[in-house]
Amino acid sequence: MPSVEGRGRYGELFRLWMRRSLAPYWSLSLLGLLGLLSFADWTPGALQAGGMTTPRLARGLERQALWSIALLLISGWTVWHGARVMSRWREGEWSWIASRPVSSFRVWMATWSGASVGLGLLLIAVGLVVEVGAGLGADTVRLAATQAVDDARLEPGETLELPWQVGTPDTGTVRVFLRSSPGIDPTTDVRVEARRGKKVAHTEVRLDGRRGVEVEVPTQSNRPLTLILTNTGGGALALDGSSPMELWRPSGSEWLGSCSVIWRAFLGLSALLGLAMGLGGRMSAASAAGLSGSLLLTATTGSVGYRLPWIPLADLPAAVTIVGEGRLPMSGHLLLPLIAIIVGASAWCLAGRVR
Amino acid sequence: MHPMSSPPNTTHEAPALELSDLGSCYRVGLLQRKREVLHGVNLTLERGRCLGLVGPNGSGKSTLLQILAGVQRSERGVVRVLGHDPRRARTRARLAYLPEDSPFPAELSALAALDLLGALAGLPRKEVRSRAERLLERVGLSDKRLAPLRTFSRGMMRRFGLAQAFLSEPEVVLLDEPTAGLDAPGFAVLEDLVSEARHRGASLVLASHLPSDVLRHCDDLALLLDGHLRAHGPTDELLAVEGRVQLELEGMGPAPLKELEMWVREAGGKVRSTSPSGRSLLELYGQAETHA
Repeated sequence: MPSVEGRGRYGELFRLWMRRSLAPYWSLSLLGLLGLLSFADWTPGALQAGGMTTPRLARGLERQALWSIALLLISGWTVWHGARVMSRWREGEWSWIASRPVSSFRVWMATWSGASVGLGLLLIAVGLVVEVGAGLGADTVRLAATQAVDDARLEPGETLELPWQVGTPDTGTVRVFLRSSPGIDPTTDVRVEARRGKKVAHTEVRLDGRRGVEVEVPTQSNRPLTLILTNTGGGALALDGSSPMELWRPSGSEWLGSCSVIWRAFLGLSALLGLAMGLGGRMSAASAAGLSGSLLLTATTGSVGYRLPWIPLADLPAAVTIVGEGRLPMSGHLLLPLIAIIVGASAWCLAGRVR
Repeated sequence: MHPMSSPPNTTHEAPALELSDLGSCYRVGLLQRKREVLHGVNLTLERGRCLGLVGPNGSGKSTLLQILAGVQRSERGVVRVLGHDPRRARTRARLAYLPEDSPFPAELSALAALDLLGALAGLPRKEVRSRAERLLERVGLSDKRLAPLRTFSRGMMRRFGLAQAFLSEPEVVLLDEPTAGLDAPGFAVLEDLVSEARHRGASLVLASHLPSDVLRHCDDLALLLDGHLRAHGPTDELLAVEGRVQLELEGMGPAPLKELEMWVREAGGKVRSTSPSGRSLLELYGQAETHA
C-alpha cells in the first residue's frame, strides 16, 4: 500500500473495527459460556481429598480455569479476525476506503487500533465475568522479583547456599522449587533457611515429588540475603533450575490478578492481531491465521516467557498460573506496550499492496 | 506508474479524465504470472461531459474505473483525473466511485455507513449527517435509514450505493454497472442523481455491459473489448447509421400504421420493426398505487 496524504477522518473506521471485534454473536456467546462455567467447581479432587485446598486457592483455580478457556478461544478468534481483515479489503471493502482521500497508513492504524480496543473491551468483560464467578477475594502477595538458579543435586546431609542478588528485599517471602529424586526413598526432608547477617528464618518440609518451598525474608536488616538448603532426609534432593527463585511481597487484592492478565493479553493479542493482519496481505486468510497461530504457540510455550519477557504474550501462561495460586504476577515488562505498538504499526509494511 | 515524457496539462482547465497508454495487469497463480487486463488505453473526457464505458463482461471496465478512482495502480501509462494523479488524496476528494458489487459494511445502518463514508471523505460530521438524511430521502431509503445494510435487498443496496457516491457533490463521478441489480425506483433515482450532477457541471463515467441502460445519459461512448479501446467518440456519431431513425408513435390504430408503412416503402425506405411500446414499470407502480 503506498502512503498518500490523507484528509479523511478516521474515528468512524476505528469504531467500525471496534464494533467488529465485539460482534454480539461472538462476544455474548463467550461471556455466556464463561458465566455457565463459573458455576463449576474447579478444584481438583486430589486437592480436596488431601485437605490441601484453601478458599484463596479455590478462587485462584477458578480464575485460572476460566481465563485459560477464555484466552484459548480469544487467541484463536484474534488470529482469524486479524487474518480476515485483508481478505475483506480484497473482496471489496478496499474500494470504498481507497477511493476516499485517506492515507493508507492511517487507515491501517484506525483499523488495527479499533480492532485492538474492541478486543480490550472484550477482555475487560471477560474479567468481570471471571471475578463475579470467583468472588473478588482477599489481600494476597505479588511476585516482586525472580532470580535464575542452576540445577543442583544434594545428597542426604549436604548443604547448598544460594545468595539473593536481585536487589535487597525488605520484606516478603522467597520461594524455591525443589524435587525429591526418585530412588530407594522417593521422599526426603529439607530445611530452607533465609539468613541476613545474624537474622535467620527457616522452614522445614517433607518432599514427595516437586514443590515450591517458601521461607520468610528476615526483616529489619540491610545485610545481603542468602538461602541455605540442607537435605535433612534420607533421599536425594534436586534444585529445579527450570524455575527461578521468587520473591513475593504483600500486595493488593486477588482480583488484581485478572487485571494483570487483561493487560498482558491486551498488549499481546493486539500485537498478534497486527501481525495476522500484515500476513493476510501476503497470503490467504487461512494461511495467515495458521502462521500467526504457530507464532503464538512458539511464543507461549517452553521458557520463552521467563527468558524473553518482553515478547508479547510470552509470559501470559506463567501469569495465569500464578493467578491460579491466588497470587498476583509481576508487573508486565516495561517494553511490552512499546513493542506491541511497533509490531502492530510495522505490520503495515508487511501487508504490502492490497491488490 | 511510469512517468510520461510530456506530462499532460495540469492546469485548472485540464480535462476531467486523461488516459495515455494505460496498461494494467493482474498476477495469477503460484508463479504470479502476469495477465494483461488493459492494453495501452488512450482516452480523454472533457469536463461536464458524460462518458458511457461499454463492453462485455471481463473487458476491463471495472479495472479502468478502479484505476481512475485511485483504488488500484496502473502498470504503465499516465492517468490524470482533473489534471492530477488519482493516487493523490486531494484528487480523490473531488471524485466519487460506485463499486460494481456493494461491499459496504453490512453490520452498519444506512445512516451510520454514510457517516463512515462521509468521514473518510473528510466531510464535517454535521454536514455528513444532513446530506445523508437528504440523500436517503431522495433514494427512497429514509424509512430504512436505521436498518442494517445486511437486511437490504440487492436493489436497495444499489440505491444506497448511489447515495454514497453522491454524498460529497463530486466533480467526477465513476459509476460501475450502476443499473445492475437496480430496481424500478432505482432507475428513477439514477436518472435524478445523474441529471443533477450534470446540471452542476460534474463529469460522469457510466460503465455497463448493457449499453441500452446508460446510452441516454452519455455524450460520449467508449467501447472496451479485451482490454483494448476499440471505439471512442460522441454517442450520436458512434451509433448513428446513415438514414436510420427510431420513431415512437402514440394514438395510431393498425390501419393508419399500415398506411404509414406503405408510404415509407414507396419512398424507398424500410420499416425494420414495429412493436407495441409498453408503459414503464414506474408507470405501472403509480397506476397500482392509485387503484390501491
